[in-house]
Amino acid sequence: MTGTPTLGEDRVRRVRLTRLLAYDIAANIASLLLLAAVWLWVRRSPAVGLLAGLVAAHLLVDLALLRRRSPAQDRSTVAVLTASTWLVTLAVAPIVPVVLPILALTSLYPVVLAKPYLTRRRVPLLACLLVAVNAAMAAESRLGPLSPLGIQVPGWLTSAILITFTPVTAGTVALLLWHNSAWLTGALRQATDANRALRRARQQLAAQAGQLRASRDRVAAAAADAERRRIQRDLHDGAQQSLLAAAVTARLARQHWDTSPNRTAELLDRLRADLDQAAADLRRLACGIYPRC
Amino acid sequence: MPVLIVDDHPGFRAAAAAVVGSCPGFIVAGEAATGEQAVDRVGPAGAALVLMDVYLPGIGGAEAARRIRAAHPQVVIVLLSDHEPADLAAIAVGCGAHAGLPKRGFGPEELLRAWAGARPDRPQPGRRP
Repeated sequence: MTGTPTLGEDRVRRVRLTRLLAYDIAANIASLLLLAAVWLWVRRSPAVGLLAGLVAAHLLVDLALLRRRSPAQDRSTVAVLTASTWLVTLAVAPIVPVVLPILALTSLYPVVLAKPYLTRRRVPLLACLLVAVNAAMAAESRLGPLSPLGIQVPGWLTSAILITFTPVTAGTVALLLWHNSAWLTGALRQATDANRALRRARQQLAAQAGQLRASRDRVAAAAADAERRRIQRDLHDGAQQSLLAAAVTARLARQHWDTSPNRTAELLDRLRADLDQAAADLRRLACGIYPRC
Repeated sequence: MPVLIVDDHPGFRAAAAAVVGSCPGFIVAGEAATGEQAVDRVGPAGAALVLMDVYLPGIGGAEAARRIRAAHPQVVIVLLSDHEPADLAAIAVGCGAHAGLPKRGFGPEELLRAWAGARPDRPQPGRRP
């Protein structure tokens, strides 16, 4: 197999995280520019400076996280990013209560982003935290007008910000979700491919084992067959011929019994020699079959 | 009648020689242990009858019988074997031998009967006065 799926997954996660950090940095810079414009042309309030400070701090966190290179740090990167994002949204809610919809959507970022880096057990915890953060932001936004830090933004600017940033933020969440689903599909395809390759390899192995067994049986059968043929040949060429010769000689001896005692004696000697030979042939054959004789 | 005995087993050659010696008018003209030797020796030995084993090293008894029949048509060939009689008869017909006798139960009467059956036109040496 070429490259384990884990290595591929790590690379995909790494690239994804870097892209998201870059996006977050761009969004923070845009926010800073917006705040600068408000400061210059709309209202020079300490609250605007505070907001700018918060966004700048978050921007610095993003930049620091972007410098990390090791995939082993990805999970802590995600954790820091999540914490940083939620802290900013919690801080902004009482200052600019009207942007609550945007803040609520923004608080979804880290949740959607974190999914591939989390173990299953951590998912409910993250969901609970998300609910808590949103509840806190909603409460803060209701208290907003009472807060000494609250700023009053002209109606047209509020409308402009909401109309621009709500769809952009919602679109970004949707993009992140799509990213996740693409990543999951890729991981699933890799797993399916690996599974299929494994099944194929197992089938090939089983087939090869079957062939090996059949081949071994054939070799054993051929060896047994060759051994049987050798014993048959030894018996036929040895003891069997000696015994046939003995039978022929005995029959002749019987025929000469009455007429020629000398010839009979010769034939009986011959007969004994044939029988000795048969016994020797059988002993040699037995030693061939079972050598410890 | 000069007889050539062909068998790779020396014990059986000796037994066959004893049978030939017990038949009046028959003498052992020579022995051979392979089919090739038999083909080479049948002429020089002047054999009129060849007693041929079927299982032989080299070309085998049937092929040797075929070659002897081709080179010496007047020579009588009797196959000797421990085949079943029916199989032996088929082999004998296949190679042009005159008869096939089982080794088991081979004796002077069987040899003389085979000779008489093979050459009915010839005087029977066993019955000559």
